[in-house]
Parts: sequence; structure tokens; C-alpha cells
Amino acid sequence: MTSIHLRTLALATLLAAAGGCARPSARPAAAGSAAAVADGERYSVYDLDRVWRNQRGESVRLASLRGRPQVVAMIYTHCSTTCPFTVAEMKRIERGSPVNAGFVLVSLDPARDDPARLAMFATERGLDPARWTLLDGNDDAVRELATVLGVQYRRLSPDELAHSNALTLLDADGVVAYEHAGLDAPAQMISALATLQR
Amino acid sequence: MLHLLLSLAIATAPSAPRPAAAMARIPAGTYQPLYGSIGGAAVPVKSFWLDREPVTRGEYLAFVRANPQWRRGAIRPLFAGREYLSGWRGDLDAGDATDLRRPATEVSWFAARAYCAAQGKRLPTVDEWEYAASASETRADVARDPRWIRRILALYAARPNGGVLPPVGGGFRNLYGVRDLHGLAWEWTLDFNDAMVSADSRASGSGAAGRDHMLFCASAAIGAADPSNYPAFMRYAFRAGLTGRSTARTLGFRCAAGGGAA
Repeated sequence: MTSIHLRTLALATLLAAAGGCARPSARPAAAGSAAAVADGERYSVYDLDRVWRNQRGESVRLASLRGRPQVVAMIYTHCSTTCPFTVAEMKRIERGSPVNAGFVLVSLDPARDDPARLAMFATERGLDPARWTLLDGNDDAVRELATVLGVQYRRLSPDELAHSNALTLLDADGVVAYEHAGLDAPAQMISALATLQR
Repeated sequence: MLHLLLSLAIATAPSAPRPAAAMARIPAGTYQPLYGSIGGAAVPVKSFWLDREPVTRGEYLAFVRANPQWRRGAIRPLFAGREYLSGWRGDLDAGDATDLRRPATEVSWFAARAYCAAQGKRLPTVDEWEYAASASETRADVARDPRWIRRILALYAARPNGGVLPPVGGGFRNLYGVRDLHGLAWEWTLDFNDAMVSADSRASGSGAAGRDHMLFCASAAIGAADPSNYPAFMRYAFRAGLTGRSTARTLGFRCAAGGGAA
């Protein structure tokens, strides 16, 4: 009678891992997206109604992203390890996308990633302002979105955050269409985008 | 006059937030998390307040009466799965007087968070919850005591699994005056999803470690501090299986206040 989507694999391996070697509990891409569909419930991420600030300093709600597919990642601009790679992957997806998708970077580090910093980051990376949205929200908003997208993160020090690398594809209504845990996403994400073509 | 005051008190009691007496002050200290600290260091926990008992069905019923958007028939699917409050007889019928004393379960993270916010409180963090739950009746930190570990495992094994949970308040009262942290149900935490559960890739150096790096940024810094603390592994594993929409008959919550968490 529970509705928990127990990630049984992660659970079992974690319990078996008392020796100190556990598989990460990040949702496997296929299982994650299947779970959102399998229970027959469609729910939109755009029901989250917090107010964010974009790289232009405008107050926006997630619902303002409605109308076209969006590829979403949660990163922070001071991250020097995998985040640059995530952005590079998203740019590859942008180049290969068969549809006019948007791209969203949500900061996990709202204390440092203010709109000005996000704008600078966007310029440095050559992110097309017509397609890319960078968002800065408060801790509550970030925690909520991370929970919905299955992104795990934890502050290690004032300078560093640990976080799971995941890309989420939202359809034009904000319903999760595809999730990719880990890096090396472009090919599958481009195929997923093609399925949203109408 | 006294009669009038009494009747006023009775009239306002059901909808009033729980008095401070319903919360225990947990003093500042340090605790050794199972995961998540660099090099397995102890992390400081600021002083905070924690509900002495889990939130009951009766209290949760008062919340959904006052906040129709959190009723079973009205909640947005983003915020809870279909099993949300499915043990209730109706949207506003949580059962008889005994049922109302049972812990509020089948409540999602979003709903638990909204409940606490409505009381001017919040969910406890994992660090706060684990820190408060490391206390026995008489000692603050028994998390690594083998007798304590056996006792907690026995409590977990004896918990009703999917059946009806007993009323709150039946468990032992710990050093801080908090009950039922272990014997009744699992409990939501604010940051349940922040355990970067991963191999210590510096130690293993295997292909799996490479895969973990693909999944987690900076995960190499974090490994399990104490593999012998099996009850803590169970709690972390349970949390790792949850999403913000998850509900279960064996998953309840309590609220916290003060401290450093948002």
C-alpha cells in the first residue's frame, strides 16, 4: 500500500554496502522517467509557484518557461569540476536539437549566484539569451525544485557543493519527459527531444 | 469569570498551534554523520527546538480543514502521489478518537513541509534529526554503542509494517524529552535528499568509482563514516528511496524550529 518508488536497486546495494562501497542513490535515468509515467499521473513542475530572478534581474515564475520544451540542469557558477562539462553538454544538445527547446540553468548556490553573476556566466559561455534562462532563487525554492527533479546536493564548504549531475527534459507544459542521471547525455536527450516534436 | 476563561481556552484549543511545551529544546553540540562530512569529521549542530512527539492525524486533520488545498481530494499531483492520506475514511474523516492520536502518515514531503510552515515551524534537517535521535534516556550520544544499535534494530524490527500504527507517545522519552524517534515510524527531514550516497572512490579506485564521478560532482570527498551503524544505514537507505511526492503508512514527521536551517 505504499506509493514509494523505492529505488530497490539503490536500496539493496546500499544495505549490502556496509563494507563502505555503495552505489549512488541517484535515480537511474530510465527508472526515473518511467516512474513519472507509470503511476499514470501527469504533474507539472510549473505548479511550483516560487518567484525566481533570471539573469536579467527580472522576477519570474517557472511557469514562464511554458510553451516549449526545456532542458534543465542545476549547477553553480563557481563549480570547476563537472558543471562546465554539463553546460558544454547542453550546448551540444542545443546544436543537435530537432526542436526549438529552451535551456535552463538553476543555481544551487543562490548566495553567490546573483543575477549579475549569472549574466556574466552566460556571456562567458556564449549562451544565447533567446534560448537560455539562468535562475537564482532562495534556499527554499532551490530545495523544492531539486526535490522535484531528483537532484541531490549538499554544501561541503562555503566554496564547494556536492551535487548529482542530472539533466531533465520538461515538455511544453512542464511535465518531465526524460531524465538523464550522470554525464554523457546528449545523444539520448536529443532522441528524447525528437519525441516531443509535434 | 473563571468559567468564561476556561470555556474560551477549550474553544480555542483545537485550532491553536502546539504550545512551546510540545517542543523540546535540543542543546547545541556535534554529531558524527554517517555520510556527508569531509573526511568523516563531526559536524556542529546549533541549538534548536523539536516536537516532543510526531504530528498526529488529529493535528493534521486540523491543518487540512484550515488549508483545503492540502486535502486528499484537492492536492496537486506534483505534491503527493495517489496514496496520500489513503488510510483516511474521507477527506475530512481521519477516524475515531484513537485514530486521531496515531501519527500522521501517508503524508508527502511537500505536505509535511507545508504543515510545519503553517505552525511557524519547519522540518528538521537530517543532521538535527540524527543528532536528537542519538540520545538514549540518559546519554546524549550513544549512536555507536553496540547495545544501543541492537536495541534500535529490535525496535525497527518490531514496528508495525504497513498495518495500523499505535498512538504517539508510547515510546521511550529520550534525554531531551523527545519520544518516538525510533519505535513508531520513519520521519521526514527537510533535506532527506541530500545524502550523497556514494562509494568512497579514492579508496576503491575501480570502474564503479569512475561511474560515481559521472553521477556526482565532488562525491569523492564523502564516504560512510561508520559502516557498523546499521540502523543509520537503514534510515539513509530509506530516505534515498524517497521523492518529494512519496507517501507511506510507515512514514510520518515532526516539526522543528530555531537553529540554523532555512
